[in-house]
Amino acid sequence: MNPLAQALVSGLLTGLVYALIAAGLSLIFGVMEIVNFAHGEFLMLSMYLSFFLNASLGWDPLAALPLNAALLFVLGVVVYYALIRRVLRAPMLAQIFATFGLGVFLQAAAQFLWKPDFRTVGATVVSGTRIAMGGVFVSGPQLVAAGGAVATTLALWWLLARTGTGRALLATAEDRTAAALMGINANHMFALAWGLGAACVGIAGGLLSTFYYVFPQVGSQFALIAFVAVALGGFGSVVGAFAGGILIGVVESLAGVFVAPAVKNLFVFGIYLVVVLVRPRGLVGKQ
Amino acid sequence: MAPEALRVSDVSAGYGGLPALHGVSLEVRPGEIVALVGANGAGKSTLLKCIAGLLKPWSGAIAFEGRGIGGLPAHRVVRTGVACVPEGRRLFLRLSVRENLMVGAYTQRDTGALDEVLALFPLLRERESQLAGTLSGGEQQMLAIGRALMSRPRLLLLDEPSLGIAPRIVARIYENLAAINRRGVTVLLVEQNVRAALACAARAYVLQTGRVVQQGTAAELLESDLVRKAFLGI
Repeated sequence: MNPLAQALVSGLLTGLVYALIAAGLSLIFGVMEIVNFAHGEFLMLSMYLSFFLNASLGWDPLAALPLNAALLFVLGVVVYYALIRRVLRAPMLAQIFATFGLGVFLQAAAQFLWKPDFRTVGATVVSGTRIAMGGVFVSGPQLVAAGGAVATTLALWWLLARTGTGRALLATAEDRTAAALMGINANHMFALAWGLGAACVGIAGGLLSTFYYVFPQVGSQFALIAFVAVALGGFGSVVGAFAGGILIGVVESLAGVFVAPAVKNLFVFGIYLVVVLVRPRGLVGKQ
Repeated sequence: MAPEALRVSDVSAGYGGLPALHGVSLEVRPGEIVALVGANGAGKSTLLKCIAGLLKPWSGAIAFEGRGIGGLPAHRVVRTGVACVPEGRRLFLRLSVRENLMVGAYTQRDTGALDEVLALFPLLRERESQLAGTLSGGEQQMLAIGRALMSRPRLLLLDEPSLGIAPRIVARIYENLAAINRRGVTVLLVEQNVRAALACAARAYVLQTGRVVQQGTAAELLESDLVRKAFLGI
């Protein structure tokens, strides 16, 4: 077994899931310059959805993915209209508290309703599978999660780059006044961005639930990494956030294998500090 | 149907508590080119913003083809057949020329206007896949006008189309405007470049500190003392 190749492949697979979470976060920020500090809790809710569908109805989380995406999309739209819309013109601090408070609320509600226990989803079609390729072992759930993350991000990219709705989103992101003059209702675009951002993290949650513990605080660590990925890639750039997520996955994995698992985050945030100091607009950021 | 395409009646508006327009009235008849001239701060852009829906008038009425549009948000005004080329062009610089035009057709079921716009501005066809931010000022203005035309407007509003553009190109943009007008699009334009505006427009209104102080045909205004002294420096 080649430890370098193994670390690279594992890191890449984890990084692709980080990348999907970060892409959703970046989309929301890119369109309306509001950071969703409840992004991790959206992920947590999606993971619980997979867990309960599996525990009570026996659904495979992979089969439930469209439902995760749809329900989280609705959640994103509802959060926009019920909460975010009211703080659109408020000071930035109020916007931060609004989403941060929502995150705290969701986490506490999960703990209250579903207890702080660590739960695992029962058997799925990919459970326990393992593939060996040229001396590198890949776990089936991780491979499927990475593939699903790539497919979802490609679908998001296609929507943004190739459809009229995507162009309207990008136009609103760049200049909402000019977009309004073209007949685009900014409110609809903001709601759509929240829906899509939440749907991305919804799919990520469903994919993660096949191999990761489900508990009320599970979103925090992923959200933290997503924030770093978004900052690495350049705020507002979906492609940049995606690249940032992959980079973090690989760095984390290499540090875990070649230094010590306990210090892997040290390297992740170390890179973040270097990028912020040397190239604050991010690796592929605009302006 | 009302005889005028656009009727602005006694509109007052401003920013915060500060008034910029005091009871302005004007009308634009179908097929006309009308210019709104005046010094910086006279309220020309404010009035255009009220018509386009970017600013809510404090009082007064705005009607397009007999239908009240005063106070409608901008994204709904476009659907009534009024398009606006905003001050400073405000292109989507991170989108390509073609994508900018496509966004302009957002309210349309098809993008059939694309060929007409590219025929009007052949330069844009050559640059179709370039990012809008890489265009020169004149090309950007053409793209901004083309983008507005993509919604197939019957009334085109333009805010300072000559601002920051080389005189040679300004002449060309005004030729384009005349061509657009010949196709049946009514034009209301705001200009500080009074000479260029009056050469193109049939009629004009002169605004000063938020009030219409003079109106008439372009020829009349070119002869008037006020315009000659204040704007043409004669």
